[in-house]
Amino acid sequence: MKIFTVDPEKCTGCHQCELACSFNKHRVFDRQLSNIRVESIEDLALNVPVKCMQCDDAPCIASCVAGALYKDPVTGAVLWDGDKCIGCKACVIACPFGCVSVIKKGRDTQIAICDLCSGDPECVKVCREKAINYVDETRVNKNKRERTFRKILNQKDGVV
Amino acid sequence: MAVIKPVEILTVDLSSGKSSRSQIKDPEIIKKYVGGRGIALYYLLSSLNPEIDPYAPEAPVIFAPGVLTGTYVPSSGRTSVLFKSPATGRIFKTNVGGHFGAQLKFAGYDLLVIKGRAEKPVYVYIEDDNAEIRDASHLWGKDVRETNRLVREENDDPEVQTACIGPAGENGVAYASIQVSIYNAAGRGGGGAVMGAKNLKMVAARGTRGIDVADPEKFSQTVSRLWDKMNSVSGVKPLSDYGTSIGVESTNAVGAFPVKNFQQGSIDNIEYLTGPYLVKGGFLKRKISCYSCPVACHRFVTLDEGKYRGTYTGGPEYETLSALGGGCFITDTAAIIKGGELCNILGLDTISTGNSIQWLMECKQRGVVSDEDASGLDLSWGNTETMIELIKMIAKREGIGDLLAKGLKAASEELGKDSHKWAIQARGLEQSRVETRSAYGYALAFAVSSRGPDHLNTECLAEFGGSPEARQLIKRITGSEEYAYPHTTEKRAEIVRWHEDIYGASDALGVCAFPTTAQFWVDEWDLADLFESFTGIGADASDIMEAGRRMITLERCFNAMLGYTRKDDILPYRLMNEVQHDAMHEDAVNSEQLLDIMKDEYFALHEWDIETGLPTKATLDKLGLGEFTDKITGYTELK
Repeated sequence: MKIFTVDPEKCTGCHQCELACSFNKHRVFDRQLSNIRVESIEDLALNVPVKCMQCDDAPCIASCVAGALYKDPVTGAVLWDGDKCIGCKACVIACPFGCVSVIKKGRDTQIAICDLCSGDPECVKVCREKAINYVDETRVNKNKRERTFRKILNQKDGVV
Repeated sequence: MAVIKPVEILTVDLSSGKSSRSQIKDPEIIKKYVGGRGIALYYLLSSLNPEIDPYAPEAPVIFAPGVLTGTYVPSSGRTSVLFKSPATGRIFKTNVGGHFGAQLKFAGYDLLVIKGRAEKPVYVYIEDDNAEIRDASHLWGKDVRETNRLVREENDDPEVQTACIGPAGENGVAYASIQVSIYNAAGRGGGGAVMGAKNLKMVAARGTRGIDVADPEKFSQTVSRLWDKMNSVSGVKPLSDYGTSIGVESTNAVGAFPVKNFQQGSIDNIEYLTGPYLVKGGFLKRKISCYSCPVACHRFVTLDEGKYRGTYTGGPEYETLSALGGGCFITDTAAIIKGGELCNILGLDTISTGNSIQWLMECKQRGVVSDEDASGLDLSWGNTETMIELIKMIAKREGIGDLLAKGLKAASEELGKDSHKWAIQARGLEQSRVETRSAYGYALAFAVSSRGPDHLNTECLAEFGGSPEARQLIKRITGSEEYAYPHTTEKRAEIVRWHEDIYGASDALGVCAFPTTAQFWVDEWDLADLFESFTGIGADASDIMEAGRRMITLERCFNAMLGYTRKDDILPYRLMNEVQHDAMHEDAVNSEQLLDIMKDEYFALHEWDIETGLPTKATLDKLGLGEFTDKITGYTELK
């Protein structure tokens, strides 16, 4: 199982992820349509990419009376069924991370949630700094342990 | 084929308080001028009396994001800012990164023209169709950081992006910058003073519209190609890891790092001025990107201990490390960062500020000025406190800061006593931190630039042959890699003209000059494919390069209408008359004879008149600029 990880210390605030998402999904550059959003405190050069966490016990799905939200059995992404949706927006309210959006497509209103691009997220491909990653669950902690290891090595200044 | 998108122009008149919209719809005009800097020049040449006082209400300041700004083309977030410079008295194009241009585009505008003069301090707030002129009395006098904080707070919107001035711009410092948000600057030429004269503290922009593309498939294929190239060239990783200061050490090693006001070509303890030291010394906290740029060459640094504890700012870039550091004989990293912070929040160009401080220090060295003239500051080389205090005095125009605030040309004329001989400026612009006596392509480029002597109309780094890609490019331009050698006049004209063309095209498209003229992963074929697939207007590489040449030619014509000719294509006195003994070759000087050899070739290549250095009527016709001939000949004779 792969999970999506975010490392805000590495994010430089280029917004490539937002643009890639919006262009890939809608063929237009519009951050309002992006399923990943970078929140910034520009004064301190702090940038945090935020997107759907693919919760196991997803509040958005639980809130949906119409049964319009369901899990992709392969990726675990929450998918939206426009035919069933009644447009009540309970899912938007339910999401604790602000990652369920209402978007306008022409006259239609749609619910937009990150679908992990069917397991090959476009946003990850354009993150040169690797602030966002889509990696195997087992890799995540290993990466962190290795990073701690490298930090200790660096502190010893060249002693390998 | 999609409908051709018109160029959307928003004009705000601060005198009348009215704003209006207009469009350029003709695809032929769009193809000729591309966008950004090109369209802005077309607008200026068509409408402006060149003799206007730069501070007159009718003199506009134009913000021109590139065609691709707001898209995911890597490194495409740039915006040109054009005005008549109070420092040079000529046309001035600056170019800035950051996120302001993208917001203008998302609001729906390709060109923002601001004219007039408000009766009291104002700021312009743009949100999609809504353009308001608002009171800025509460912002006047505030520094750039505070101004941004207040505007975001009062609009309850942290994503507002701005172009604003600090106290230096309000006080009319000749090299006051326009700061874009907090970490980027349209720094050179005194645009900040032009805004100040209009009582314009800031332009704030917020856009919520999308940008669509004529041919999405070709567009995304071209962008994929650019990613492959970006990841394979040798120069991107060092620039991303260490920022522009990656070049400091190698420049110093070849005796081309201007030290003590260009009296020396290298300095001991250079390590403290390098990108790796910003990391090692714990100064670098994060990297910062301009909009849509995966390279992120900008730095965010803080000072966590010592007497400048609590300092935080962007940079320091190569130019700042040289201008406030080596040039002043300073290698104290923390002091340079503090000086950089002050320039960024007071709204000063670091290059001109540093050159002015160095000039004053040399005035003391030569016994022309004493410490008493500078309110008792110790003007000795290397004094960090003096450097920092002078920055504040320049912004406030206090004491000797008032003299320095006039720019080096005016200041050295006022002081006299031969001080023009070490005023590192020409045509009113302080030279950027390039030792042109060690780089003859740069010398030619600086001498003929419409701006004055700096690298921001023509960066010809390739002449050093510092990377395989640079040598390959020199071979493509000249026919041989042998010409990747900066100590010769041979082929410099060809090299400079190629770089001018692609620089103009990059500016017009909003693409950063680093990919096109320093790391070489975007070329003219890429630019043409991007333009064509984005706009739906057919164009090939030669069309794109010719558009760049039109921009160079129009800027030349603008200055020609003011009476400037070949005789004004000069460099600072020191660089033309004193040999740089630290250089790697003999007779390292940009003498008049040396410049003349290159200028002859350069004018011939442009098919301009060799005697006057002015475009001929035939050349204007050939470039499709014949419509301007009558206007130009109303001011000056053309052959």
